[in-house]
Amino acid sequence: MSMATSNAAYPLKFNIISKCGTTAARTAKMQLPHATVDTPVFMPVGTKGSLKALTTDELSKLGCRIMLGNTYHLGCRPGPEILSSSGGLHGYMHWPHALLTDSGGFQMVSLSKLCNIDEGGVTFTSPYDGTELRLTPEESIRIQNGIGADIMMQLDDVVHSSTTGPRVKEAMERSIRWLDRCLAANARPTQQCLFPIVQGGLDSDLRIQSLDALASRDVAGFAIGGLSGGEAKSTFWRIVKLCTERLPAGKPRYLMGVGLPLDLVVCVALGVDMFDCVLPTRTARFGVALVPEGQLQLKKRQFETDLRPIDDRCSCPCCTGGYSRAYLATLLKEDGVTLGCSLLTAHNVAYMLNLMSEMRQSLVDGKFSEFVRHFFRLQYPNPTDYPEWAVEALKSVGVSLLSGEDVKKSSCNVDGSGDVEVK
Amino acid sequence: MRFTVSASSGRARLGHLALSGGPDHPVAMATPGYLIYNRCGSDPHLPQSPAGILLTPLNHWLDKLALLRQAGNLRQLCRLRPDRQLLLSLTDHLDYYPTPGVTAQHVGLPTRSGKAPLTVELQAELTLLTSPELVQPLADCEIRDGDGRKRARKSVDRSLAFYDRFVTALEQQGGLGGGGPALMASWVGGYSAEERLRCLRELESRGADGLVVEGFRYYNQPVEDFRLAQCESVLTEALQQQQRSQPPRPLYFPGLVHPADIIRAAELGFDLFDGSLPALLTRRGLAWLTSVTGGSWWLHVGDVELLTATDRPLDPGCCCRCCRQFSLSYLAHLSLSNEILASILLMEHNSARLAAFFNELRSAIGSAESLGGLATKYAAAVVPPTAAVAPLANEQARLKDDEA
Repeated sequence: MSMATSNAAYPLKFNIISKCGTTAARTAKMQLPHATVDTPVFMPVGTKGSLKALTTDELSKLGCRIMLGNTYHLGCRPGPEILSSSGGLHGYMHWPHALLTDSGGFQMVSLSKLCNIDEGGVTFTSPYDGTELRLTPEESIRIQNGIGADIMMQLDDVVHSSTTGPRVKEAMERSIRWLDRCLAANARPTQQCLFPIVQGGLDSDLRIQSLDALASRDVAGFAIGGLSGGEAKSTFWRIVKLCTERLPAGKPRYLMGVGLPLDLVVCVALGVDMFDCVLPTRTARFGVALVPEGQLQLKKRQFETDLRPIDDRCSCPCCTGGYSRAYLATLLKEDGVTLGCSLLTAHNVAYMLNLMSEMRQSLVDGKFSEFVRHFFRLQYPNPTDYPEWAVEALKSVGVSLLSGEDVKKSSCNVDGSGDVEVK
Repeated sequence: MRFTVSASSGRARLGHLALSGGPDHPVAMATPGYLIYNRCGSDPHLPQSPAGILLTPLNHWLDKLALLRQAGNLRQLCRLRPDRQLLLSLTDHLDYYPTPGVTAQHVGLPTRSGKAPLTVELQAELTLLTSPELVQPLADCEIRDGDGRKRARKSVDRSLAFYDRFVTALEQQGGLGGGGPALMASWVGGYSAEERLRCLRELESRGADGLVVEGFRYYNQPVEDFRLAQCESVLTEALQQQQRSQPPRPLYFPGLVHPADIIRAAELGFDLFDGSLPALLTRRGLAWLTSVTGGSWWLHVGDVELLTATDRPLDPGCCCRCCRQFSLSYLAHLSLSNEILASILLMEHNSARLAAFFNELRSAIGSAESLGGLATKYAAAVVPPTAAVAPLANEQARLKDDEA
């Protein structure tokens, strides 16, 4: 079994440590200019250069080594010139580890009142002062070069996952042309690498065309876009698997905008290495705590006198500090008090980071399938409640949730050690 | 509680307030000093909490009685470190003020859920649940513009009766004696100098451990509109006619937010103040600078013009984390973006600034001339009225202004 590594001259080195012999999951070390990141990895989202009530010191102490910034917002304000003169977003927000920026395309389409797309680029209205702005592939890269993230995303022609018809093909093909313009525009190729984004909507043929075109480009990694937009999960996982199967094995795969803990576990099994989602930070501000069994909505009446910690198995500052569910609920309801939000954000981010850490460890130990089954038992005490799409997706990569056995069971590490047992 | 005076200059004095905090965690503060303003055990906008005496208004907890009783111990519930002791007061002076509803049996305190009655018995129970080092017994602190001596007399009579009944109730519940809280009695009497003097003498004869000035700020008068000048003549007339008590008792004047008024109150002999100014400034996006800049002590950080300030911190004269680690541009960006981190960093700065101000005040008391100079320096340090400054967005607005 080959352990492909990425050794081209990018500011990114991807070294696979261990692969699951049953599923397509693997764990790797991804070396970037500002950090070495263990994958599979969850990247919290600090949209406007801040992670919602958590300081960068606190985020670093939780073990986070890569987070997201949002080009659309940061490009509008404060803008690339100010960021560039501050040592990039790293210096501006005092974040010493790795950063990833998206291109701004998704927010343009979803947030701007006016958005017109042509071959040159996108014309849209600024969310801050209503002026008309133009974002081209070159301009997106210029802004992202100013932000200075370790990983940048190409500007793609974004269509909603529910869009059908010729627009999807048009967007997919245009995205390939825009990718080449983005690659040519990157003024810092030895400091910042660029990921193309696989598009094609929910059409397998279009996805394959996109995959084949992108895989032939000389890039450090790949992103899978155009999903997590409310499409049927049964289609979602099939598209993800289609992409991971056709992307180069030795380069990281980033599934954009995903997702829930369940999505992460299944998609790791399908071969995804990187994820991002606003879930842990956004739900914290609504008083929702993530736990292995699901979610706790702390503002509900049932928690008003619940003096237990969120999760006594959790090692985050909130749970080890002894803060009770009831007290957190009290703090969250007090306007102007940030302690509740800070603690809950820390807990939720810690939960996601710990979930990925457990997956990585299970891959090294050769017990990924057992981890997956254990995860599902905690989330769904009754197996009849297992989401059908997840059962199908995992079965497709050799894990039978319902029978409790693998189609095949083997694992080996890069050095060839480990149990190898084929059923 | 032990309060000693080490030096004085006129009526102004330097003191030392020591609380037991248990044998391993004594808590002490130099006076004039300030209590740590907080809500429900947490400093607003500040995840990390300094050591000191927490101002703990009961009106924050009256709608959470079930939780408090379930927990059985407020310190445990709020995970308070031993170096954070409590003064259990009646009302949050920053956001609420006594609402009408005082009878011979109870005082109506404002809560998030509306007005809630506080009786002597309930306060005694809550005192045992909160384990404060200092407690402000129930009092009639209500005052309206135009109230005369008759209303002032009633407030003194009621407050003295509440005080006596509270002491009895606490004794009956075993909450007084060597291990019990020190009693910070409310000094009321409206704008009648005679009633103020009567109240002062009655409380001193009862052996109150300290005094809290109440009943000068009118019902619904915004905190930044209340100036010391409004009541100074009544205060000084009463103070001048009463001998300074021996041993000395700490005098606490809550609800004074303007630095100029704090200096003047210290000159009159007051020792403790509520530390609410940083919270007041922060919620409005104002930073208190170490020196007058552009003609003002205050800087509104949510100003788009400040985005270009990438080469300097908020305040070059400050050593707080906000000023050491971040540029003024970043703080302005966070503020304009409605980010929670903006208020956290701004609060850190304003808290450090308040601490520096009180250091300056204590240093100046050693020299009468310097205290006068300090008063001149801060004469213009008046917090702008609410309408003049757009506040940092509140949480509801932040929840709407969300990322895609």
